[in-house]
Amino acid sequence: MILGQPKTPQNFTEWLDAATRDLVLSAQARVRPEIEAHYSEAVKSHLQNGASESVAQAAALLELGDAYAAAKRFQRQYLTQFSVAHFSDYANIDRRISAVCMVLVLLATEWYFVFPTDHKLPLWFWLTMVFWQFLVLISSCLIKSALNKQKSDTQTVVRLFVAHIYLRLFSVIAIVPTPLLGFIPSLKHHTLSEFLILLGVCWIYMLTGYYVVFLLWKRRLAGKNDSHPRQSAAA
Amino acid sequence: MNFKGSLTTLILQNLTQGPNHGYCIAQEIKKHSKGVLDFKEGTLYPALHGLEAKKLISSATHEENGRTRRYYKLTDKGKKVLVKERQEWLQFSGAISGLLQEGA
Repeated sequence: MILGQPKTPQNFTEWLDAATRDLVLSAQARVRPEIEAHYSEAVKSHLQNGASESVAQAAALLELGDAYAAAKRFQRQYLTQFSVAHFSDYANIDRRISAVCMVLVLLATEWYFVFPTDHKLPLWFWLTMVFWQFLVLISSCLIKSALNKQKSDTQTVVRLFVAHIYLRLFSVIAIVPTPLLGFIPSLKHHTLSEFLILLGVCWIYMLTGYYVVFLLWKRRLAGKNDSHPRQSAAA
Repeated sequence: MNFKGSLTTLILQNLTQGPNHGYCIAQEIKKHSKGVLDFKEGTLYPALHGLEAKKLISSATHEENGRTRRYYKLTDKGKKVLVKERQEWLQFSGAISGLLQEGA
């Protein structure tokens, strides 16, 4: 055996383990019985053609092909336990940060009502912020729920993630014209520098939140990689 | 012979004859291509599950001789996709055949 190369399965049990080991349990429950039935049928067919039991088993195993190639294809289709753990970590951090941001925005909106005269921006600006933050929080919760079910295929979770990232980007972009529109009616009372400061604050607020999520996730990911059994074994 | 990318079309074509299970689909593809199209059967199931995720086929389990079997069936969406893919393939293979015959 060449060092660093995965071990070639010697029998069907090893083949099946190599092909499905990393998949989430729900995917394993779907895939394994199907391949087991396929293998039994193939062995039966070879036996009927006059092969001995060991030859029939070897031929059926050969027909299945490379277990690791099959594993790669299955992993494109189904979530792995490893990816669920990492995506869950991200979703957990993201949800918490989104919730904190939501509270901050709600407090800012409340501040508008408490001090109605002491405000720079119209109410609908804050309501827009609440709306976007709420959407981001919901999408974050959807990802978590999809991961918890473990029934979702990889494509569904990736689509949810892509939608979530677009939503985050769009929420940042959408904030740009919002203060501008709020600023125009009260142009007489404000200067351009005031507007730019407000815009900058909004951007910093949103981007810092997202950066913190990313940073925390990366840190956890690094921690997990150090303790992952496969990587430790390889080391 | 390597027929990467065509396996899904061959699966869809096979299912036009009626619901079928994985092992039978693999054997029929090999049989009808007279052994020319040989593929590793372990890659059949990811392809089947991918087609199911795209809703081109549907599946249901049946008990057979004490064993659970999963039968795959072509959906209406799958039929439409197959018609399109068949046309594209015939067009493509016709063009290649024409070119090769010219050179012969």
